[in-house]
Amino acid sequence: MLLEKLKNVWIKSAGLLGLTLVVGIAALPARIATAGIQTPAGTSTPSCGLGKQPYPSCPVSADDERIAKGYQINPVRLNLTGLDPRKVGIGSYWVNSAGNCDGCHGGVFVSVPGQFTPAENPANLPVSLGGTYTGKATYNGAIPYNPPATENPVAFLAGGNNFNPSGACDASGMGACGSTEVLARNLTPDFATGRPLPEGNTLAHFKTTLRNGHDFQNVGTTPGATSVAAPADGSKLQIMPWPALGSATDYDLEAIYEYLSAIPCISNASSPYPEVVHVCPATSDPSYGTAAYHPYGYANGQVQRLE
Amino acid sequence: MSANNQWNTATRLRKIHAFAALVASVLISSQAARAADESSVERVDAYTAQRIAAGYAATPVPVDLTGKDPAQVGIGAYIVNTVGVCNHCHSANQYYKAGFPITTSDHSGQTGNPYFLPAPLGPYAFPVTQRRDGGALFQIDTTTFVAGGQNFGSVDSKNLTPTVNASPTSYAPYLAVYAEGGIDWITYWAVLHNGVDIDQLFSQCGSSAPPGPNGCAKAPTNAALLQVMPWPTVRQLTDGDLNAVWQYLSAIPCTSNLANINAGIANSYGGGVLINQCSQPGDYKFYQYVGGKVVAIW
Repeated sequence: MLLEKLKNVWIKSAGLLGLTLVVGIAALPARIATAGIQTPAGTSTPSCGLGKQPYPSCPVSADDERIAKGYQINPVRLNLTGLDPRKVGIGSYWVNSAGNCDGCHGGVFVSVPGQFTPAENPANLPVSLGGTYTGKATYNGAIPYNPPATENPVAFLAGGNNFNPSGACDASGMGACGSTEVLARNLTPDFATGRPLPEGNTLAHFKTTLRNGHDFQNVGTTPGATSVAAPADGSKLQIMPWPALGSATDYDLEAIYEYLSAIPCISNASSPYPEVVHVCPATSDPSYGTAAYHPYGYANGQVQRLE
Repeated sequence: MSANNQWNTATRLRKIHAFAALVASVLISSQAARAADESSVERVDAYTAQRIAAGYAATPVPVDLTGKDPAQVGIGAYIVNTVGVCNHCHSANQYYKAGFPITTSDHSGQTGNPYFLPAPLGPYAFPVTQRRDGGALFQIDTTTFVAGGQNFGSVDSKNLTPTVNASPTSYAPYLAVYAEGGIDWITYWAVLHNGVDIDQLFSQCGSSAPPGPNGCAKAPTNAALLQVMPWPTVRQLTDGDLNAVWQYLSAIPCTSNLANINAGIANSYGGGVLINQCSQPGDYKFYQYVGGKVVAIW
């Protein structure tokens, strides 16, 4: 077993352990640290920061490195026509690494729902079949993991996760929920206007949404299951963490928009929630079909089409 | 272990830390100067420089740059406080609301979850101030900032604030204060890359291993892995950026989380490793990035 290989077991802090104790629980959660954790696949140590000083520092990553990584971890084909390939790379980097947008925005109502492919995502399994996570079973992307997992391109950012399906307040602490349902939006391009607009938004609207939380689809102010009751402000997004994302730089917000413009449209047409359904061109459309979408890489400062 | 023993142990640790602090304080000013000299702040590209500035503007808590690369700390602050939104899950009370301390015994009564709460409890509907660009600026609750304790069913989010690494012998007399309760860089990297739960809160159901503090996890779920933390995507950060996150989380103040409603009592699943021993000294300041340099504000 993996953990049996861990060496140098040490009790990190008796105070930490002791104070974590619940009176009456005898077994302490032993906290273990090691320099030799084995990875399921690949390397077991970082590529930098291996010095002996207390705070071994890696060189500051250059944007070229982030762009290359962005193309490497992007799980879908891209259409870069008319787009800034460097921005697309940076956008992919934030969306698919620390941002983990697909964790919440991974598609539901698509043919293969969820952030990761089903075999890797027991979040979709009932408890009787091994799914252990019962707290927020509908948060498909969030849990649990048996990775290394690969993103599910069929559902990538297609939205539809219902964060309050019963309309009741659950144990996650949603407070005075009322009867409001909140759906993770479809972040893929909407072609309703004939051109790809991520989430149906122009860049200006997208930035306003990320900075101020304003919902240009007016979902919370439209009567129905998703309307937000006063005194909460229905014109604002209620779950999307825009108060934090709004502090991102202009360039990074534009880069994320550029990336979301490049990914394939997923209509999510079977969703009963109109804010999640997008208009996608026929795949036979030469400007949209598979002929226009390709895998890309980045090397030597250049974006390269791989096939 | 009795409560008395816990207290005695904590007292001993405090004495040890106090001695180490004395030694460390002698070096602190020269170390700070050295860190500034070795900074790569002036060598970063333009967009990364913008992120450093935004990171120092976004951190809700001061940082101790001693021994660290100010550029990396700024980038880490940016990733943690903007695109990463770490505090969204790793805080029991994300936004500050005066007069509403965490006193309820049930997570569902916590004041930190903004969703649908009426103003002024619901910060999503009630911005504290406006940024110059018209955006909403929310006041992060610094007493719970990335200190963990939000309940996710069978697990609580962990305390990411730093404390003294218990075995920094090779760095003596340096007081090594590391992220997430004392995790050194290589271990931190391994946790984020492999998802290994170093607290081993779960055992594998049906195995011969003794039950974990939080019980057992059924196959196909791998009990050795973190199940809520999105490490499968966070691991895709460049090593440089992940190191930046680690340096930032090592630079922020320690939060014991003793007051957290889930810390002392654990949750109904009996788990959670939330308490930090906070006794280290620190030269905590707010900084800004101007003219290619990281400058202390106060």
